Amino acid sequence: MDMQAGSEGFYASDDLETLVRSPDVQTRRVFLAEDDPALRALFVETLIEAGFEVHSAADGLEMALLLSSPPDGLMPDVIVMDVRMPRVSGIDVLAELERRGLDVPVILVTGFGDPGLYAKARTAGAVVVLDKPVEPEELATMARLVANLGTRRKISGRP
Amino acid sequence: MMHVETRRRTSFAEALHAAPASLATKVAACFTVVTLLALLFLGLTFARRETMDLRRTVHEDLRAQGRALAPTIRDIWLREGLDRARVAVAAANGDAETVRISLEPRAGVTSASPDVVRVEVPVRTPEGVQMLQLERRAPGLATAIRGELGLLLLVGLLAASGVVALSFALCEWLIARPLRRIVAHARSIADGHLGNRLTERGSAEVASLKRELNGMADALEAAQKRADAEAVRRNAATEALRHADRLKTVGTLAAGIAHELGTPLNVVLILARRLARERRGDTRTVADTAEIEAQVRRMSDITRQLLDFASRREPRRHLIAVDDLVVRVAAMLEGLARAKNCSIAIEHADAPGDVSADADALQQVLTNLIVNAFDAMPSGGVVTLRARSANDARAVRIDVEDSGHGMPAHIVERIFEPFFTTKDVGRGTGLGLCVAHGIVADHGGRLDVVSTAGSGTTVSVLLPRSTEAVDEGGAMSLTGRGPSFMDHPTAAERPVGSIEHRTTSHATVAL
Repeated sequence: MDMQAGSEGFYASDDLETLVRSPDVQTRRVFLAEDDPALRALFVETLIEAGFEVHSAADGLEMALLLSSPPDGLMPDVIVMDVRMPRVSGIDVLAELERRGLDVPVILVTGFGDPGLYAKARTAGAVVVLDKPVEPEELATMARLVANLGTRRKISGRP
Repeated sequence: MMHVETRRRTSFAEALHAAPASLATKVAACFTVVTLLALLFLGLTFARRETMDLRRTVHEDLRAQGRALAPTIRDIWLREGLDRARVAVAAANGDAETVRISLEPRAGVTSASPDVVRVEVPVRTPEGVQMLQLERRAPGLATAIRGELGLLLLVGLLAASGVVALSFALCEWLIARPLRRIVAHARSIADGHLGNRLTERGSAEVASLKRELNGMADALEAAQKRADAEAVRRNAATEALRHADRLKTVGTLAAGIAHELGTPLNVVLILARRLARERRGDTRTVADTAEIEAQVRRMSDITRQLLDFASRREPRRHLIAVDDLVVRVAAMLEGLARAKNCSIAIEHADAPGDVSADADALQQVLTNLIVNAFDAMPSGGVVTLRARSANDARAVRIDVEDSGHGMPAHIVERIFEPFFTTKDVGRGTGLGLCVAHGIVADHGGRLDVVSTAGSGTTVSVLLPRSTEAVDEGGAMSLTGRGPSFMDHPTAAERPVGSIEHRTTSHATVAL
């Protein structure tokens, strides 16, 4: 399993393997926002292969709309978002989640390796920040892990 | 009318200014006039005295002659009458040509010319008084002078030319010659030869002029030196600014490219993965996709470094013990050192003290420098870390020294440029030192490089020493950019590839 430095904090948990590997009875739902169509398609494919039900958006605004009226009225178990998107950014969506009091864990994907951004993303409530290029396995693993944890509160506050 | 006069005066002054007579000419003219006046006065005086003497003598002669003649004339007049006496007087004239004698009824009947001396002697008889008049030519003053005019002119001319020659010679010797030397000296000063000095000899005036000129040359030389030093400093500052500006531009560009590359790289990576999975049996495809993935990873490493380089943040400072930092970095890189057949030695000279700095950032600086040191010793060796007080008490210095192949001057000059690398393709991005430089500059410090081709390189990190405690919240007590000692050194202190350092090259970069 190849993981980047941004996620190494999770290895501390003993029951990590259990969390990631245990087949879940219920299909997990993920909302994905990525402005690049090619990458979006590949992320969708990766997440579907990982067993998720995927709903995608082309930017932060579409993501906000998706969250306002989720299909079947069900909120996602995890949100995967690019940071830099036209109209509304991933950080803006995080702030919006906070404002609405929605307790959905968020994985941010970014091309910015800027330490300042990590800090900003964590402050805004992101659970995990992944640097592009993201390995598909890593994305799948992280999404499963975060979705199984259920709420961002449980694992936020990584040092 | 007025303005016509004014104009004429101006034009006269202009004419004077346009063709100033040489000093010698003026002095000669003065002397000549004075000499001629003196000559004239003397000549006049002599001539007057001579003339007077002559006339007086003639006068006395005539009087004596008259007195001698008068009784005879009187006798003739008494005996034979006045008419006979006149005849006798006229007869007396006949043989004496120089003296003209006549008998006049009274004095001053005829007016005498100035060139004639006249004596009148009364001849008294009971019949009346007649004046016996004796005249003789004796030149008056004007005539005498007129007679001597040629000689006078000749003497005057000779005297004048003598005076002119003499005054020219004197002026040449006393004034023109030393002045010419001074003029030549002033011209050489004007041409920029400020080092020459005049020996302060000669007459008092000339010596004082030379002294003043030397003083002026001293002042000029000092000013020139100051200006040169200033220019050098300004050039260095401009160069540093340009360098910093270039780095910043490259940084911004790099950040943009790196960020935009993330998404397409991600697409390539995932597609390669998919291809590998779908053609699991095809070894060729599996190998190719593995290579694609490796290359994607390499590209993403480059973009990561570019971003490190570009997104230099304001350091989050804490109080850091330099000793501890060095030990920590050395421990962290021990594994890498072993892999490269190298080792890290830490030398303790003195207690360098604390710096207020971003620990992560400084760790990256030291890591970059140490990895470079490893790469400079392909067959292994020791990297020596030395933390100590810098020569300037306000600075802390960390040396990273290797015994590798060193660098020639033309490489040392460029090592801080982004994307400059001497490593093999794929081994280095040319950003490590650039990033290190940027971080150190952010801390108000600088990097010094001393490299001797063939025997190794020492890169020194100079950081301002923390003088005040920094609270754990990271508030900065050291404000502003680096203190004065971190100022960019002048070219004199930075002999990049100069003659003095033919084998050893220095480079210093600070912002």
